[in-house]
Amino acid sequence: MREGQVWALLGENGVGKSTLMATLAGMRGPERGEILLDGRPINRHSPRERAHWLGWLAQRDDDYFPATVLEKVLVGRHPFLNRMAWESTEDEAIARDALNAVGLSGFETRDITTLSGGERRRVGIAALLAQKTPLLLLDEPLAQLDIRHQLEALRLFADLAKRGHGIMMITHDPNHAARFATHALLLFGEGRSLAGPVDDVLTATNVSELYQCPVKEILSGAERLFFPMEEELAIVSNKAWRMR
Amino acid sequence: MKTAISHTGLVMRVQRVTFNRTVSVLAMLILLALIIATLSVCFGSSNIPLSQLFNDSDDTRVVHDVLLNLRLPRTAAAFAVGGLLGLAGALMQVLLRNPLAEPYILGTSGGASVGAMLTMLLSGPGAWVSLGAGAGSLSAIAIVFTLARGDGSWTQARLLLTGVAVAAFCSAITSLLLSLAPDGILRGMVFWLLGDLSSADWRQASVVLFIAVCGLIPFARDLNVFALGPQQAYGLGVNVPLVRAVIYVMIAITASVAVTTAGMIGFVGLLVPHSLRLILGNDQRLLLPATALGGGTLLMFADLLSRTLIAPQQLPVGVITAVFGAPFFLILLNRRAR
Repeated sequence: MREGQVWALLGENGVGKSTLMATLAGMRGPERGEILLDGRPINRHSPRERAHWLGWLAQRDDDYFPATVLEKVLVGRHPFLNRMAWESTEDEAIARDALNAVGLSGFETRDITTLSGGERRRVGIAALLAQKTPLLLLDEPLAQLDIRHQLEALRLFADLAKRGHGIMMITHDPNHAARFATHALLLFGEGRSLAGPVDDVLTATNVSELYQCPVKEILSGAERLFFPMEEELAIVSNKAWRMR
Repeated sequence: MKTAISHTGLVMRVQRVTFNRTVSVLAMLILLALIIATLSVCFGSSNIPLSQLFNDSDDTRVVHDVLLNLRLPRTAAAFAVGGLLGLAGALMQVLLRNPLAEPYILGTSGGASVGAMLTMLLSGPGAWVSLGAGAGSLSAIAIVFTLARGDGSWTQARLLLTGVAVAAFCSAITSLLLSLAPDGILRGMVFWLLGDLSSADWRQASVVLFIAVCGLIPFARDLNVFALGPQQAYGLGVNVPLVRAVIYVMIAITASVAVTTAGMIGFVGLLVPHSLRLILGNDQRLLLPATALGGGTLLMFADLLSRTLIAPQQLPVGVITAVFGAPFFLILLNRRAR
Protein backbone atom coordinates (compact mmCIF):
# COMPACT_ATOMS: atom_id res chain seq x y z
CA MET A 1 0.00 0.00 0.00
CA ARG A 2 1.53 3.28 -1.08
CA GLU A 3 0.87 6.93 -0.41
CA GLY A 4 -1.70 8.32 -2.82
CA GLN A 5 -3.57 5.02 -3.08
CA VAL A 6 -7.07 4.33 -1.81
CA TRP A 7 -7.60 0.60 -1.34
CA ALA A 8 -11.09 -0.80 -0.96
CA LEU A 9 -11.18 -4.09 0.96
CA LEU A 10 -14.29 -6.03 0.02
CA GLY A 11 -15.68 -9.38 1.00
CA GLU A 12 -18.60 -11.20 2.52
CA ASN A 13 -19.42 -10.96 6.21
CA GLY A 14 -17.10 -13.17 8.22
CA VAL A 15 -14.52 -13.72 5.47
CA GLY A 16 -11.78 -12.05 7.52
CA LYS A 17 -11.57 -8.40 6.46
CA SER A 18 -11.23 -7.03 10.00
CA THR A 19 -8.81 -9.81 10.85
CA LEU A 20 -6.69 -8.89 7.85
CA MET A 21 -6.75 -5.25 8.85
CA ALA A 22 -5.74 -6.10 12.42
CA THR A 23 -2.82 -8.10 10.97
CA LEU A 24 -1.80 -5.21 8.73
CA ALA A 25 -1.91 -2.92 11.76
CA GLY A 26 0.47 -5.31 13.49
CA MET A 27 -1.82 -6.20 16.37
CA ARG A 28 -1.93 -9.85 15.27
CA GLY A 29 0.96 -11.84 13.91
CA PRO A 30 0.51 -13.19 10.35
CA GLU A 31 0.54 -16.96 9.96
CA ARG A 32 2.82 -16.70 6.95
CA GLY A 33 4.82 -13.89 5.49
CA GLU A 34 5.50 -10.58 7.15
CA ILE A 35 4.11 -7.06 7.25
CA LEU A 36 6.64 -4.39 6.33
CA LEU A 37 6.19 -0.78 7.29
CA ASP A 38 8.61 1.65 5.69
CA GLY A 39 10.74 -1.31 4.65
CA ARG A 40 11.07 -2.76 8.15
CA PRO A 41 8.96 -5.47 9.84
CA ILE A 42 6.12 -3.75 11.63
CA ASN A 43 6.91 -5.16 15.04
CA ARG A 44 10.45 -3.77 14.82
CA HIS A 45 9.02 -0.29 15.07
CA SER A 46 8.39 0.97 18.57
CA PRO A 47 4.65 1.40 19.27
CA ARG A 48 5.06 5.16 19.30
CA GLU A 49 6.92 5.23 15.99
CA ARG A 50 4.34 2.95 14.43
CA ALA A 51 1.60 5.31 15.60
CA HIS A 52 3.34 8.13 13.73
CA TRP A 53 3.16 6.12 10.51
CA LEU A 54 -0.03 4.16 10.69
CA GLY A 55 -3.45 5.05 12.01
CA TRP A 56 -6.21 2.49 12.54
CA LEU A 57 -9.93 3.17 12.89
CA ALA A 58 -11.61 0.31 14.73
CA GLN A 59 -14.89 -1.15 13.58
CA ARG A 60 -16.86 -0.26 16.70
CA ASP A 61 -16.97 2.94 18.72
CA ASP A 62 -16.97 1.73 22.30
CA ASP A 63 -17.16 4.48 24.87
CA TYR A 64 -16.74 3.10 28.35
CA PHE A 65 -16.53 6.46 30.10
CA PRO A 66 -18.19 9.80 29.39
CA ALA A 67 -15.91 12.28 27.66
CA THR A 68 -16.31 15.43 25.66
CA VAL A 69 -16.00 15.25 21.88
CA LEU A 70 -12.92 17.46 21.92
CA GLU A 71 -11.20 15.18 24.45
CA LYS A 72 -11.97 12.17 22.26
CA VAL A 73 -10.44 13.83 19.22
CA LEU A 74 -7.41 15.09 21.16
CA VAL A 75 -6.35 11.52 21.96
CA GLY A 76 -5.21 11.38 18.37
CA ARG A 77 -2.31 13.63 19.41
CA HIS A 78 -1.10 11.14 22.04
CA PRO A 79 1.76 9.66 19.95
CA PHE A 80 3.23 13.14 19.55
CA LEU A 81 3.26 14.26 23.16
CA ASN A 82 6.07 13.63 25.60
CA ARG A 83 5.28 11.74 28.76
CA MET A 84 4.81 14.76 31.00
CA ALA A 85 3.63 17.18 28.32
CA TRP A 86 0.12 18.61 28.03
CA GLU A 87 -1.73 19.23 24.78
CA SER A 88 -0.68 22.55 23.29
CA THR A 89 -2.85 25.16 21.58
CA GLU A 90 -1.50 23.78 18.32
CA ASP A 91 -2.80 20.31 19.21
CA GLU A 92 -6.15 21.81 20.05
CA ALA A 93 -6.21 23.62 16.70
CA ILE A 94 -5.46 20.34 14.90
CA ALA A 95 -8.32 18.67 16.77
CA ARG A 96 -10.75 21.45 15.92
CA ASP A 97 -9.73 21.29 12.24
CA ALA A 98 -10.35 17.55 12.28
CA LEU A 99 -13.82 18.07 13.74
CA ASN A 100 -14.50 20.66 11.08
CA ALA A 101 -13.43 18.24 8.35
CA VAL A 102 -16.08 15.72 9.47
CA GLY A 103 -18.73 18.39 9.86
CA LEU A 104 -18.90 18.37 13.64
CA SER A 105 -17.76 21.89 14.48
CA GLY A 106 -19.64 23.12 17.48
CA PHE A 107 -19.79 19.67 19.03
CA GLU A 108 -16.63 20.15 21.09
CA THR A 109 -18.26 20.26 24.50
CA ARG A 110 -20.91 17.60 23.86
CA ASP A 111 -20.74 14.38 25.85
CA ILE A 112 -19.77 11.52 23.57
CA THR A 113 -22.28 9.11 25.09
CA THR A 114 -25.16 11.34 24.00
CA LEU A 115 -24.27 11.30 20.31
CA SER A 116 -25.88 9.06 17.72
CA GLY A 117 -24.01 6.11 16.20
CA GLY A 118 -23.20 8.00 13.02
CA GLU A 119 -21.97 11.05 14.92
CA ARG A 120 -19.72 8.84 17.03
CA ARG A 121 -18.29 7.27 13.87
CA ARG A 122 -17.46 10.72 12.59
CA VAL A 123 -15.79 11.62 15.89
CA GLY A 124 -13.72 8.45 15.52
CA ILE A 125 -12.71 9.52 12.02
CA ALA A 126 -11.82 12.98 13.36
CA ALA A 127 -9.58 11.44 16.03
CA LEU A 128 -7.79 9.52 13.30
CA LEU A 129 -7.40 12.68 11.23
CA ALA A 130 -5.87 14.43 14.24
CA GLN A 131 -3.23 11.70 14.31
CA LYS A 132 -2.03 12.93 10.89
CA THR A 133 -0.51 9.63 9.81
CA PRO A 134 0.68 9.04 6.23
CA LEU A 135 -1.11 5.67 6.16
CA LEU A 136 -4.66 5.02 7.38
CA LEU A 137 -6.49 1.75 7.95
CA LEU A 138 -10.24 2.25 8.20
CA ASP A 139 -12.52 -0.55 9.35
CA GLU A 140 -16.01 0.22 8.04
CA PRO A 141 -15.69 3.99 8.33
CA LEU A 142 -19.07 4.54 6.72
CA ALA A 143 -21.10 2.35 9.06
CA GLN A 144 -24.21 4.11 10.35
CA LEU A 145 -23.65 7.22 8.25
CA ASP A 146 -26.45 8.63 6.10
CA ILE A 147 -25.82 9.08 2.37
CA ARG A 148 -24.72 12.69 2.60
CA HIS A 149 -22.22 11.95 5.36
CA GLN A 150 -21.05 8.84 3.55
CA LEU A 151 -20.26 10.88 0.45
CA GLU A 152 -18.60 13.60 2.51
CA ALA A 153 -16.41 11.03 4.25
CA LEU A 154 -15.48 9.36 0.96
CA ARG A 155 -14.60 12.72 -0.57
CA LEU A 156 -12.49 13.44 2.48
CA PHE A 157 -10.57 10.17 2.05
CA ALA A 158 -10.08 10.74 -1.68
CA ASP A 159 -8.81 14.22 -0.89
CA LEU A 160 -6.38 12.86 1.69
CA ALA A 161 -5.06 10.41 -0.89
CA LYS A 162 -4.51 13.24 -3.37
CA ARG A 163 -2.50 15.02 -0.71
CA GLY A 164 -0.23 12.02 -0.38
CA HIS A 165 -1.80 9.76 2.26
CA GLY A 166 -2.32 6.03 1.72
CA ILE A 167 -5.71 4.66 2.71
CA MET A 168 -7.24 1.23 3.03
CA MET A 169 -10.89 0.99 3.92
CA ILE A 170 -13.25 -1.88 4.50
CA THR A 171 -16.52 -1.21 2.79
CA HIS A 172 -19.59 -3.21 1.88
CA ASP A 173 -20.59 -1.13 -1.10
CA PRO A 174 -18.84 -1.91 -4.40
CA ASN A 175 -20.17 1.38 -5.78
CA HIS A 176 -18.17 3.34 -3.24
CA ALA A 177 -15.14 1.36 -4.30
CA ALA A 178 -15.80 2.03 -7.96
CA ARG A 179 -16.18 5.76 -7.44
CA PHE A 180 -13.55 6.61 -4.87
CA ALA A 181 -10.96 3.84 -4.69
CA THR A 182 -7.84 3.52 -6.81
CA HIS A 183 -7.24 -0.14 -5.95
CA ALA A 184 -9.36 -3.01 -4.68
CA LEU A 185 -8.63 -6.13 -2.66
CA LEU A 186 -11.33 -8.78 -2.90
CA LEU A 187 -11.39 -11.59 -0.33
CA PHE A 188 -13.31 -14.56 -1.67
CA GLY A 189 -12.73 -16.77 1.32
CA GLU A 190 -10.90 -20.10 1.58
CA GLY A 191 -7.60 -18.35 0.85
CA ARG A 192 -8.59 -16.85 -2.51
CA SER A 193 -8.11 -13.17 -3.10
CA LEU A 194 -7.68 -10.70 -5.93
CA ALA A 195 -5.80 -7.40 -5.68
CA GLY A 196 -5.09 -4.71 -8.20
CA PRO A 197 -6.26 -1.44 -9.76
CA VAL A 198 -9.94 -0.95 -9.19
CA ASP A 199 -10.92 -0.84 -12.86
CA ASP A 200 -9.27 -4.22 -13.49
CA VAL A 201 -10.41 -6.03 -10.36
CA LEU A 202 -13.90 -4.66 -9.79
CA THR A 203 -15.95 -6.29 -12.53
CA ALA A 204 -19.50 -7.55 -12.46
CA THR A 205 -18.30 -11.16 -12.60
CA ASN A 206 -15.89 -10.74 -9.71
CA VAL A 207 -18.40 -8.84 -7.58
CA SER A 208 -21.08 -11.45 -8.24
CA GLU A 209 -18.73 -14.20 -7.20
CA LEU A 210 -17.52 -12.25 -4.19
CA TYR A 211 -20.95 -11.77 -2.69
CA GLN A 212 -22.57 -14.93 -4.06
CA CYS A 213 -25.21 -12.63 -5.53
CA PRO A 214 -25.68 -11.91 -9.25
CA VAL A 215 -24.78 -8.31 -9.95
CA LYS A 216 -25.32 -6.25 -13.07
CA GLU A 217 -23.00 -3.47 -14.14
CA ILE A 218 -24.51 -0.30 -15.56
CA LEU A 219 -22.50 2.47 -17.13
CA SER A 220 -23.76 5.96 -16.41
CA GLY A 221 -21.53 8.33 -18.28
CA ALA A 222 -18.04 7.77 -16.89
CA GLU A 223 -19.34 6.04 -13.78
CA ARG A 224 -19.90 2.35 -13.20
CA LEU A 225 -22.77 1.20 -11.03
CA PHE A 226 -23.40 -2.27 -9.67
CA PHE A 227 -26.94 -3.46 -9.05
CA PRO A 228 -27.91 -6.71 -7.35
CA MET A 229 -30.31 -8.74 -9.49
CA GLU A 230 -33.07 -9.95 -7.20
CA GLU A 231 -34.92 -12.37 -9.50
CA GLU A 232 -31.81 -14.29 -10.34
CA LEU A 233 -30.72 -14.41 -6.69
CA ALA A 234 -33.34 -17.01 -5.77
CA ILE A 235 -32.12 -19.39 -8.50
CA VAL A 236 -28.46 -18.92 -7.63
CA SER A 237 -29.08 -19.33 -3.91
CA ASN A 238 -30.85 -22.63 -4.44
CA LYS A 239 -28.02 -23.91 -6.64
CA ALA A 240 -25.42 -22.74 -4.14
CA TRP A 241 -27.22 -24.47 -1.28
CA ARG A 242 -27.53 -27.74 -3.15
CA MET A 243 -23.82 -27.73 -4.01
CA ARG A 244 -22.70 -27.32 -0.40
CA MET B 1 -31.48 14.20 24.68
CA LYS B 2 -30.11 15.52 27.93
CA THR B 3 -26.39 15.44 28.40
CA ALA B 4 -24.75 14.01 31.49
CA ILE B 5 -23.48 17.51 32.15
CA SER B 6 -26.92 18.93 32.67
CA HIS B 7 -27.59 16.24 35.27
CA THR B 8 -24.80 17.27 37.53
CA GLY B 9 -25.22 20.92 36.70
CA LEU B 10 -21.50 21.37 37.19
CA VAL B 11 -19.76 23.23 34.40
CA MET B 12 -16.37 21.72 35.20
CA ARG B 13 -17.05 18.59 33.15
CA VAL B 14 -17.45 20.51 29.93
CA GLN B 15 -13.96 21.92 30.00
CA ARG B 16 -10.85 20.18 28.88
CA VAL B 17 -8.33 19.32 31.56
CA THR B 18 -5.32 21.58 31.33
CA PHE B 19 -2.31 22.00 33.57
CA ASN B 20 -3.71 25.13 35.22
CA ARG B 21 -7.04 23.49 35.93
CA THR B 22 -5.33 20.44 37.40
CA VAL B 23 -3.24 22.57 39.73
CA SER B 24 -6.21 24.63 40.93
CA VAL B 25 -8.46 21.63 41.55
CA LEU B 26 -5.72 19.75 43.39
CA ALA B 27 -4.97 22.86 45.47
CA MET B 28 -8.63 23.02 46.52
CA LEU B 29 -8.58 19.34 47.44
CA ILE B 30 -5.38 19.76 49.47
CA LEU B 31 -6.99 22.65 51.35
CA LEU B 32 -10.06 20.53 52.07
CA ALA B 33 -7.84 17.70 53.27
CA LEU B 34 -5.98 20.03 55.66
CA ILE B 35 -9.24 21.34 57.08
CA ILE B 36 -10.61 17.86 57.71
CA ALA B 37 -7.26 16.77 59.15
CA THR B 38 -7.34 19.66 61.64
CA LEU B 39 -10.90 18.78 62.64
CA SER B 40 -9.88 15.16 63.01
CA VAL B 41 -7.07 16.10 65.35
CA CYS B 42 -9.21 18.47 67.42
CA PHE B 43 -12.30 16.35 67.88
CA GLY B 44 -12.79 12.89 69.27
CA SER B 45 -13.74 11.30 72.54
CA SER B 46 -12.42 14.51 74.09
CA ASN B 47 -12.42 17.76 72.16
CA ILE B 48 -9.33 19.92 71.97
CA PRO B 49 -9.86 23.56 71.01
CA LEU B 50 -7.42 24.96 68.43
CA SER B 51 -5.98 27.48 70.88
CA GLN B 52 -4.62 24.72 73.07
CA LEU B 53 -2.68 23.26 70.16
CA PHE B 54 -0.10 25.98 70.32
CA ASN B 55 0.19 26.80 74.04
CA ASP B 56 2.83 25.16 76.12
CA SER B 57 1.93 24.66 79.76
CA ASP B 58 1.56 21.71 82.08
CA ASP B 59 -2.05 20.90 81.18
CA THR B 60 -1.43 21.19 77.50
CA ARG B 61 1.45 18.76 77.68
CA VAL B 62 -1.01 15.92 78.27
CA VAL B 63 -3.08 17.26 75.43
CA HIS B 64 -0.05 17.35 73.17
CA ASP B 65 0.67 13.79 74.15
CA VAL B 66 -2.76 12.66 73.04
CA LEU B 67 -2.31 14.63 69.87
CA LEU B 68 1.10 13.42 68.87
CA ASN B 69 0.85 9.81 69.89
CA LEU B 70 -2.76 9.06 69.19
CA ARG B 71 -4.63 11.50 67.01
CA LEU B 72 -2.00 12.63 64.53
CA PRO B 73 -0.80 9.13 63.61
CA ARG B 74 -4.40 7.99 63.37
CA THR B 75 -5.35 10.89 61.13
CA ALA B 76 -2.28 10.25 58.99
CA ALA B 77 -3.21 6.57 58.75
CA ALA B 78 -6.77 7.44 57.76
CA PHE B 79 -5.51 9.74 55.05
CA ALA B 80 -2.99 7.24 53.74
CA VAL B 81 -5.40 4.29 53.70
CA GLY B 82 -8.18 6.37 52.17
CA GLY B 83 -5.80 7.64 49.53
CA LEU B 84 -4.63 4.11 48.70
CA LEU B 85 -8.20 2.85 48.44
CA GLY B 86 -9.22 5.75 46.22
CA LEU B 87 -6.23 5.18 43.97
CA ALA B 88 -6.82 1.43 43.78
CA GLY B 89 -10.45 2.06 42.87
CA ALA B 90 -9.59 4.53 40.12
CA LEU B 91 -7.03 2.09 38.67
CA MET B 92 -9.48 -0.81 38.82
CA GLN B 93 -12.06 1.23 36.94
CA VAL B 94 -9.48 1.92 34.22
CA LEU B 95 -8.32 -1.72 34.08
CA LEU B 96 -11.82 -3.12 33.73
CA ARG B 97 -13.05 -0.13 31.70
CA ASN B 98 -16.02 0.05 34.03
CA PRO B 99 -16.93 3.02 36.23
CA LEU B 100 -18.53 0.66 38.76
CA ALA B 101 -15.47 -1.45 39.52
CA GLU B 102 -13.90 -1.38 42.97
CA PRO B 103 -10.54 -2.60 44.29
CA TYR B 104 -11.75 -5.65 46.18
CA ILE B 105 -13.07 -7.43 43.11
CA LEU B 106 -9.83 -9.18 42.28
CA GLY B 107 -9.68 -11.15 45.49
CA THR B 108 -7.63 -8.64 47.53
CA SER B 109 -10.01 -8.45 50.46
CA GLY B 110 -10.87 -12.16 50.44
CA GLY B 111 -7.24 -13.22 50.52
CA ALA B 112 -6.36 -10.62 53.13
CA SER B 113 -9.15 -11.67 55.48
CA VAL B 114 -8.22 -15.36 55.21
CA GLY B 115 -4.58 -14.48 55.92
CA ALA B 116 -5.46 -12.24 58.83
CA MET B 117 -7.98 -14.63 60.41
CA LEU B 118 -5.56 -17.54 60.15
CA THR B 119 -2.75 -15.53 61.74
CA MET B 120 -5.02 -14.33 64.53
CA LEU B 121 -6.16 -17.86 65.28
CA LEU B 122 -2.64 -19.17 65.37
CA SER B 123 -0.80 -16.38 67.15
CA GLY B 124 -3.34 -13.88 68.43
CA PRO B 125 -3.63 -10.19 67.50
CA GLY B 126 -0.32 -8.46 66.90
CA ALA B 127 2.18 -7.47 64.26
CA TRP B 128 2.01 -10.81 62.47
CA VAL B 129 -1.59 -10.16 61.49
CA SER B 130 -0.62 -7.51 58.98
CA LEU B 131 1.96 -9.80 57.45
CA GLY B 132 -0.57 -12.61 57.24
CA ALA B 133 -3.09 -10.32 55.64
CA GLY B 134 -0.51 -9.08 53.15
CA ALA B 135 0.57 -12.60 52.22
CA GLY B 136 -3.04 -13.72 51.81
CA SER B 137 -3.92 -10.70 49.71
CA LEU B 138 -1.00 -11.07 47.32
CA SER B 139 -1.57 -14.84 46.98
CA ALA B 140 -5.22 -14.29 46.08
CA ILE B 141 -4.29 -11.68 43.48
CA ALA B 142 -1.65 -13.98 41.98
CA ILE B 143 -4.19 -16.83 41.80
CA VAL B 144 -6.79 -14.65 40.11
CA PHE B 145 -4.27 -13.31 37.62
CA THR B 146 -2.92 -16.75 36.70
CA LEU B 147 -6.40 -18.21 36.28
CA ALA B 148 -7.65 -15.36 34.14
CA ARG B 149 -4.68 -15.13 31.76
CA GLY B 150 -5.51 -14.26 28.22
CA ASP B 151 -5.62 -11.43 25.77
CA GLY B 152 -8.41 -9.52 24.13
CA SER B 153 -11.30 -7.49 25.33
CA TRP B 154 -13.22 -10.27 27.02
CA THR B 155 -10.43 -10.90 29.44
CA GLN B 156 -12.09 -8.21 31.53
CA ALA B 157 -15.12 -10.41 32.06
CA ARG B 158 -12.93 -13.41 32.81
CA LEU B 159 -10.88 -11.39 35.29
CA LEU B 160 -14.02 -10.17 36.98
CA LEU B 161 -15.64 -13.59 37.23
CA THR B 162 -12.48 -15.30 38.45
CA GLY B 163 -12.13 -12.60 41.09
CA VAL B 164 -15.73 -13.09 42.18
CA ALA B 165 -15.23 -16.85 42.46
CA VAL B 166 -12.01 -16.52 44.46
CA ALA B 167 -13.64 -13.90 46.71
CA ALA B 168 -16.58 -16.21 47.37
CA PHE B 169 -14.24 -19.06 48.27
CA CYS B 170 -12.22 -16.83 50.61
CA SER B 171 -15.41 -15.62 52.21
CA ALA B 172 -16.39 -19.21 52.95
CA ILE B 173 -12.98 -19.93 54.51
CA THR B 174 -13.22 -16.76 56.60
CA SER B 175 -16.60 -17.83 57.93
CA LEU B 176 -15.16 -21.23 58.75
CA LEU B 177 -12.28 -19.66 60.67
CA LEU B 178 -14.66 -17.37 62.54
CA SER B 179 -16.78 -20.32 63.57
CA LEU B 180 -13.71 -22.15 64.88
CA ALA B 181 -12.40 -19.14 66.85
CA PRO B 182 -12.46 -19.12 70.65
CA ASP B 183 -14.51 -16.29 72.23
CA GLY B 184 -11.50 -14.29 73.38
CA ILE B 185 -10.11 -13.77 69.88
CA LEU B 186 -13.43 -13.58 68.10
CA ARG B 187 -14.15 -9.93 68.89
CA GLY B 188 -10.74 -8.86 67.62
CA MET B 189 -11.22 -10.85 64.42
CA VAL B 190 -14.62 -9.30 63.75
CA PHE B 191 -13.29 -5.80 64.35
CA TRP B 192 -10.47 -6.41 61.88
CA LEU B 193 -12.99 -7.48 59.28
CA LEU B 194 -15.07 -4.37 59.85
CA GLY B 195 -12.16 -2.03 59.26
CA ASP B 196 -10.37 -0.46 62.19
CA LEU B 197 -7.92 2.42 62.31
CA SER B 198 -7.03 2.29 66.00
CA SER B 199 -3.83 0.31 65.55
CA ALA B 200 -3.01 1.31 62.00
CA ASP B 201 0.60 1.95 61.04
CA TRP B 202 0.60 5.22 59.11
CA ARG B 203 4.22 5.04 58.01
CA GLN B 204 4.06 2.12 55.59
CA ALA B 205 0.77 3.24 54.08
CA SER B 206 1.95 6.83 53.58
CA VAL B 207 5.19 5.81 51.91
CA VAL B 208 3.39 3.46 49.54
CA LEU B 209 0.80 6.13 48.73
CA PHE B 210 3.48 8.68 47.94
CA ILE B 211 5.46 6.29 45.75
CA ALA B 212 2.32 5.11 43.97
CA VAL B 213 1.14 8.61 43.11
CA CYS B 214 4.60 9.72 41.96
CA GLY B 215 5.01 6.54 39.93
CA LEU B 216 1.64 6.78 38.23
CA ILE B 217 1.62 10.44 37.19
CA PRO B 218 3.99 9.89 34.20
CA PHE B 219 1.72 7.07 33.02
CA ALA B 220 -1.51 9.02 33.43
CA ARG B 221 -2.08 9.86 29.77
CA ASP B 222 -1.26 6.27 28.79
CA LEU B 223 -4.02 5.25 31.19
CA ASN B 224 -6.42 7.64 29.46
CA VAL B 225 -5.68 5.97 26.13
CA PHE B 226 -5.74 2.47 27.64
CA ALA B 227 -9.26 3.18 28.92
CA LEU B 228 -10.46 3.70 25.35
CA GLY B 229 -10.15 0.04 24.54
CA PRO B 230 -7.37 -2.33 23.41
CA GLN B 231 -7.66 -1.65 19.68
CA GLN B 232 -7.68 2.11 19.90
CA ALA B 233 -4.92 2.12 22.50
CA TYR B 234 -2.82 -0.09 20.25
CA GLY B 235 -3.43 2.18 17.26
CA LEU B 236 -2.26 5.18 19.26
CA GLY B 237 1.05 3.57 20.15
CA VAL B 238 0.38 2.41 23.72
CA ASN B 239 2.07 -0.82 24.77
CA VAL B 240 -1.15 -2.39 25.98
CA PRO B 241 0.19 -5.53 27.71
CA LEU B 242 2.81 -3.48 29.58
CA VAL B 243 0.33 -0.86 30.76
CA ARG B 244 -2.12 -3.56 31.81
CA ALA B 245 0.60 -5.29 33.85
CA VAL B 246 1.62 -2.01 35.50
CA ILE B 247 -1.98 -1.22 36.45
CA TYR B 248 -2.49 -4.71 37.82
CA VAL B 249 0.64 -4.57 39.97
CA MET B 250 -0.25 -1.09 41.28
CA ILE B 251 -3.75 -2.21 42.21
CA ALA B 252 -2.34 -5.25 43.96
CA ILE B 253 0.12 -3.20 45.99
CA THR B 254 -2.16 -0.29 46.91
CA ALA B 255 -5.17 -2.43 47.79
CA SER B 256 -3.09 -4.95 49.75
CA VAL B 257 -1.33 -2.28 51.80
CA ALA B 258 -4.64 -0.56 52.51
CA VAL B 259 -6.30 -3.77 53.66
CA THR B 260 -3.37 -4.94 55.75
CA THR B 261 -3.10 -1.55 57.46
CA ALA B 262 -6.73 -1.02 58.39
CA GLY B 263 -8.78 -4.08 57.56
CA MET B 264 -11.62 -4.11 55.08
CA ILE B 265 -12.99 -0.64 54.62
CA GLY B 266 -15.60 -0.70 51.92
CA PHE B 267 -17.08 1.79 49.46
CA VAL B 268 -14.23 4.29 49.51
CA GLY B 269 -12.58 2.54 46.57
CA LEU B 270 -15.82 2.68 44.57
CA LEU B 271 -17.42 5.95 45.61
CA VAL B 272 -14.49 8.34 45.49
CA PRO B 273 -13.29 7.69 41.92
CA HIS B 274 -16.84 7.33 40.62
CA SER B 275 -18.14 10.58 42.15
CA LEU B 276 -15.03 12.58 41.29
CA ARG B 277 -15.28 11.35 37.70
CA LEU B 278 -18.80 12.72 37.47
CA ILE B 279 -17.55 16.13 38.57
CA LEU B 280 -14.07 16.29 37.03
CA GLY B 281 -14.24 14.00 34.01
CA ASN B 282 -12.15 10.92 33.28
CA ASP B 283 -8.77 12.47 32.52
CA GLN B 284 -6.46 10.42 34.74
CA ARG B 285 -3.94 13.24 34.95
CA LEU B 286 -6.41 15.01 37.18
CA LEU B 287 -8.50 12.12 38.41
CA LEU B 288 -5.71 9.97 39.88
CA PRO B 289 -4.23 12.54 42.27
CA ALA B 290 -7.75 13.83 42.96
CA THR B 291 -8.97 10.38 44.04
CA ALA B 292 -5.94 9.93 46.26
CA LEU B 293 -6.67 13.25 47.98
CA GLY B 294 -10.43 12.70 47.97
CA GLY B 295 -10.17 9.18 49.35
CA GLY B 296 -7.84 10.34 52.11
CA THR B 297 -10.13 13.22 53.04
CA LEU B 298 -13.22 11.02 53.03
CA LEU B 299 -11.67 8.42 55.27
CA MET B 300 -10.37 11.06 57.70
CA PHE B 301 -13.90 12.39 57.90
CA ALA B 302 -15.40 8.92 58.36
CA ASP B 303 -12.85 8.23 61.08
CA LEU B 304 -13.79 11.52 62.77
CA LEU B 305 -17.43 10.45 62.74
CA SER B 306 -16.55 7.01 64.08
CA ARG B 307 -14.84 8.63 67.06
CA THR B 308 -17.45 11.30 67.78
CA LEU B 309 -20.87 9.86 66.93
CA ILE B 310 -21.23 7.77 70.06
CA ALA B 311 -18.30 9.18 72.01
CA PRO B 312 -16.58 7.98 74.16
CA GLN B 313 -17.25 4.68 72.42
CA GLN B 314 -15.75 4.18 68.99
CA LEU B 315 -17.38 2.62 65.95
CA PRO B 316 -15.34 0.69 63.39
CA VAL B 317 -14.70 3.04 60.51
CA GLY B 318 -15.76 0.39 57.97
CA VAL B 319 -19.27 0.55 59.45
CA ILE B 320 -19.44 4.32 58.83
CA THR B 321 -18.31 4.06 55.22
CA ALA B 322 -20.81 1.30 54.53
CA VAL B 323 -23.76 2.86 56.34
CA PHE B 324 -23.33 6.22 54.64
CA GLY B 325 -21.69 4.92 51.50
CA ALA B 326 -24.37 2.52 50.33
CA PRO B 327 -27.28 5.02 50.27
CA PHE B 328 -25.05 7.64 48.64
CA PHE B 329 -24.08 5.10 45.98
CA LEU B 330 -27.73 4.32 45.32
CA ILE B 331 -28.48 8.02 44.93
CA LEU B 332 -25.64 8.35 42.41
CA LEU B 333 -26.89 5.35 40.44
CA ASN B 334 -30.39 6.75 40.43
CA ARG B 335 -29.24 10.09 39.03
CA ARG B 336 -27.37 8.38 36.22
CA ALA B 337 -30.36 6.31 35.21
CA ARG B 338 -32.39 9.40 34.34
